[in-house]
Amino acid sequence: MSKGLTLIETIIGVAVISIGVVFIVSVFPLGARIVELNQKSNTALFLASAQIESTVSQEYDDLEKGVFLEDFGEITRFEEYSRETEISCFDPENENCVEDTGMKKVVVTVKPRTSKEAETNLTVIITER
Amino acid sequence: MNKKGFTLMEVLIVVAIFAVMVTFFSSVLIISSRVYFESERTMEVMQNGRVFLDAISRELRQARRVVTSVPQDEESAKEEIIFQDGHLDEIREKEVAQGGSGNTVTLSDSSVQEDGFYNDAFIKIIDGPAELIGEKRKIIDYNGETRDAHIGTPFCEEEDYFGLEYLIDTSYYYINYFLDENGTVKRKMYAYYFSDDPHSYVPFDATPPQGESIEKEILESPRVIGEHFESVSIWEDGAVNVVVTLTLEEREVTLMKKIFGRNL
Repeated sequence: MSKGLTLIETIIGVAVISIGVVFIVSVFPLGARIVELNQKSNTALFLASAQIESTVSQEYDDLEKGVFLEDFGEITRFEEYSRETEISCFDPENENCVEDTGMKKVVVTVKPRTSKEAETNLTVIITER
Repeated sequence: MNKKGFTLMEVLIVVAIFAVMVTFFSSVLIISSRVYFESERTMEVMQNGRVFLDAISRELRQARRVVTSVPQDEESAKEEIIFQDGHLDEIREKEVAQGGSGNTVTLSDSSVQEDGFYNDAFIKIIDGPAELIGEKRKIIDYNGETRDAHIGTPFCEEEDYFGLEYLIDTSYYYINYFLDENGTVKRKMYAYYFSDDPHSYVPFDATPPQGESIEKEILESPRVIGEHFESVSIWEDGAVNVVVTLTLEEREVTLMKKIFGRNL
């Protein structure tokens, strides 16, 4: 003789199944998100290296210390990205660099408007030639 | 024995549950395959864009001179660029081959004995059997010890290369990247010469002597670098900017690269 399932058993069974289903379903958008994230960080990387390249192409003395920000909408064709370029003096022996040692540090940070994880940072050190 | 079978109600419930499950799983399947193809397209266009940008930036960094007038602003950006190749040592040799056949040409006694010295240079036959004159091949590999230059496809089937006079002249190679009407980015290489002397390459803007004209010779015919390009814009503002937009079935990706030519 089988008496059938009790209410508790049914509820537990339904709960277990629904957790499983929710988990499986959540995997799919995750994959799509990762692809999109990858594309964004790739674009950000290209934008950052473009900025590095144009910094390198300038004369050492023309590189002025400071922070230069291109906000969202200011980079043509890449309105969804912001780019910050920080030029500071660099001293390998002293973290708080005061005077010019013949080296400058350039840090470029590119942020997509959405998805913080795709933020990209590039650093380059330029020496006086 | 109890063999009453199912009631209509039971059958209906089972069918309903089954239908819900089938709908659910098939939609999951459809979504996942859509995501899969979508990401594959993204990867495909990214890859094509990257290959082109990497190739052009490597060569443009070493370029000796840009030939096309590159616009200074983005609005008038061009879809192509021509520049002088700068990645080879300057070689200018007119010599006679010692031998070889098929994929191997044994260069003359006076050629440089350094492995890889002639790699990527073009070897052109300037004297020998009539049907071989003017034929050229890219040297893929060079063995300094044996002076054997390896070429991709043989000059001819049977004959020995002994006694053929050849030219290796890397002084003025020009590289052209352009977007064709099918959205394909291609690369070709060529050189210029004066009509009376096809065996010496000259700069593209050289003035030919009286009565001669400047001619163009294709060294390497257009080769596909990347596909799915919607647009290519090249302009200059201290460094050369290359912006590409690629599309593949509604997936659109824009990439940009700034290239600072070290010798420009």
